[in-house]
Amino acid sequence: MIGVQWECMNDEISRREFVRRAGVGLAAVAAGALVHGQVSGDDTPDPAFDALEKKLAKPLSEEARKLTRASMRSNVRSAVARDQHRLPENSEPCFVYLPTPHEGKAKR
Amino acid sequence: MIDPFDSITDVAAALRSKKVSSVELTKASLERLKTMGREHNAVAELTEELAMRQAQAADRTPGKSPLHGIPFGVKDLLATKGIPTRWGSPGHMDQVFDYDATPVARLQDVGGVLVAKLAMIELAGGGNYNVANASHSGPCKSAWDKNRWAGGSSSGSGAATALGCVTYSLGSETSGSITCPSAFNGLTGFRPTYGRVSRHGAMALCWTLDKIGAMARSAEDCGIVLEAIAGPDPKDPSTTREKLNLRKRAPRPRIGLLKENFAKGSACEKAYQNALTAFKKLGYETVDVAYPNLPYGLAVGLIVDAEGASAHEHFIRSDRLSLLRDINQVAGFAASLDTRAVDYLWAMRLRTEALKANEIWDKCDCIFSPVFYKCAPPIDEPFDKGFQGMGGDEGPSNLLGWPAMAFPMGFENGCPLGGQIIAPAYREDTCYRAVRDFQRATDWHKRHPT
Repeated sequence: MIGVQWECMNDEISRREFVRRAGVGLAAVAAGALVHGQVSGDDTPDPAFDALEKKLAKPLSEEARKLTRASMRSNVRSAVARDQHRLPENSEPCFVYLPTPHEGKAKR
Repeated sequence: MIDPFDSITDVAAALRSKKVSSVELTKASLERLKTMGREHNAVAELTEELAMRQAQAADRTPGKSPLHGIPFGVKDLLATKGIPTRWGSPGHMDQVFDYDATPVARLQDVGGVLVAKLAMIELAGGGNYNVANASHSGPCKSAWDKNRWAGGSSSGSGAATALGCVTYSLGSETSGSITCPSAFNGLTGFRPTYGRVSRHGAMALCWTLDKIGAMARSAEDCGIVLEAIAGPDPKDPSTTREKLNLRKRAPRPRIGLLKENFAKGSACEKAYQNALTAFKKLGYETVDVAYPNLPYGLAVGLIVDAEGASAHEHFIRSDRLSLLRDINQVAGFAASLDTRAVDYLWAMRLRTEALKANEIWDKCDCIFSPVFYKCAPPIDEPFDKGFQGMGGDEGPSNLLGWPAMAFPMGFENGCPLGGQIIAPAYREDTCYRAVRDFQRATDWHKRHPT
């Protein structure tokens, strides 16, 4: 399970998991870390965050920065989690590109 | 005047016999929306002028559809010509489209009267919201208890329909957004197979997961609405040509039961067991089943991150991002720009692998499961606290585009508890039949907030 964990019956549920079950949308983020006072390292240099913030029209507020960094850490955890499930070699994604025919209008 | 909680069939009969006019129904619906609807923060925009015009036209012409002349509302994620469509977002307050979304147009084509755009979580919650107040119209309150949340992201569709403000409404679901507010408001909600209903004119959160569906007060009403909005649409290439037939003749479906994790003696466990007893009395057989153990939730999360970031990239990169009501959404959308292509493609390949979950349909025809283990959480608690112990669907149903119908099956502390019937792709008829049979034998769906 990814994101911030808390007790849920006998299993644990992350905020990402909550949103998935509870009617979303949902994107990255396990900003619950902030709620639980577990955010650390927000003052350390973070090139990935700096690069991301440069894509935005204006700098984020301090609180939004903390939450965004927590979300980015959650993204990293997602990537690690998905590494733990090895897909069959040579499998394809659930979509394929289908070329569509096109009749030219030019008269020959 | 007729009862605001009457079924579509009853209202249609009253209209045909001239016991009531569409104009009278529409005025009554608008009145309830202006009072109860607004008290619950369920209304995004009233469409009074349009509604009165459509009602007058309906009274002048003979109805060819059971929906003719009946007021309805739609989630504010669906485009409506000349009327603001704000997607629940303070960052989209000036947004007005010059066309109707296909499902809206189809309902209007059969004589439906659009009375309101209904409240929703901003941008369908794609940035991972953590508070009920993540909407420009404020926290939407459950029809049963104003201190509890109406659910999301089709919040207003849930509350307004349960309050009898409209006879039915449209909602949308990427992952839980129809079933959740249906459960929290004691409604019947029909999430169709992916591709069954056109998404043309609907805000995209996730092109490969979004579904438009009906929210009403019974399976039969949901069926009538789905029949009106389903079908291929050249404007949405993902729509299927597979014909919808809700009344297919088939043996009684066998119900699959997942291993549930109830708190011992909980109201939900009792409601679930009572519902099972009701199904068995009706002759339904059950069998224990399990999904293959795959990281379905992780895949859904990555797909929403990637597709949501792309669909809303201009907004996320604009100075309007900071206008979102929930700061968690600001952060979530910003961070979603960081999603890697290989992670997204892993999720789409996992989706291919997840198709093996279809093997479950060799053992059963549908699955019965609670929507959540508890009733709606308090409206003022962040969800990471208020949602503890809620449980919920951990399976592949949204990832694989399976249909589901949520329905009321009991109460906890005076608030409704919802169950759901999940079926294989394109077998909406199985959901419909099981819930319709259940509702013919029980009266949970006939209970309304006072």
